[in-house]
Amino acid sequence: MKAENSDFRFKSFMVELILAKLCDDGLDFSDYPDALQHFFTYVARTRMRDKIVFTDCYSASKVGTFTEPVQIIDPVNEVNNVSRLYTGANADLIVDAALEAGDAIDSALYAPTKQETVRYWQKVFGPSFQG
Amino acid sequence: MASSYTLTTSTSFTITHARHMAAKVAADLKRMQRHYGKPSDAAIANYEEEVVQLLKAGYLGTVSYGYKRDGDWIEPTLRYTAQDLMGSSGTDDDPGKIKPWADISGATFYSYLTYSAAWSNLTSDQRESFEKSLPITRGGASEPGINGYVEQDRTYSAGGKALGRSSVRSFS
Repeated sequence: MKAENSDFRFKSFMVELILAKLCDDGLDFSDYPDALQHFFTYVARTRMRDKIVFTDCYSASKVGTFTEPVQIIDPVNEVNNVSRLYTGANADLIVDAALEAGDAIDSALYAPTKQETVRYWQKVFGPSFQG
Repeated sequence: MASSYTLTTSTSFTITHARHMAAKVAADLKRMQRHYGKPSDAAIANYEEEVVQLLKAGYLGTVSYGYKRDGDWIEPTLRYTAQDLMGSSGTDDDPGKIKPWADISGATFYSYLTYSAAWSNLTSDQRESFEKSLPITRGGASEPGINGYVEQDRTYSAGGKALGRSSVRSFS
């Protein structure tokens, strides 16, 4: 994505925190395609505009008010928005990519041939994916 | 001496072509389920098989799936129209591009199907016999109106036939 659009940014740390939030919410990650789809669906549905808070080290009521469009709060520091550098435009690009990836995964799920299934998965993992 | 040549091409539409297109409808419906909760996996499987059988037999006119409120389709609603490409190949898009942010409060999932001209040429016995082979029994109903506008956005094609997809969009 970065090669196609220099404005695209999505640090792996943000991905890990979103996945941790979904895990806390009780989503089942035992099936890899389902787990991926949970992630992409969450990103698309929330448009990356839902505040993500972890309550392992502080209570949710202690989390401050933030003005940035993307709000993923540091799991060990309730006053630190680790996603503060992400603009609305950055978030929209991530949401668009999540929608495309979600489309490809569900298309692969229903594709009637292996050739088509692999082609759809290649839209998610790149052309080197061979199934 | 003058020579003339005639090039004849024919494309026979097979069950494989029908399954190729119906799989894309099923993927669209799965996307709708992911974002809005319905239709169920079992319903998607039945809708997919229904489209396969109707496409193969040439009896599909249009089929719509989506959400209905106060008697009108709202976003998200997808309408597929069967088209004959007269032997030529058409665009074959990938499924998807269903936006997840529409307001479906107070709406219910609904499906509506119309038949092709070929269907009206069948006798009532032939229709009844064919309907028994389908996984879904449909009753008569008037077609819902549209709250919003309709945008043609995808085409799925194979074997000289196509399904044109239109999506209902909200004005807001």
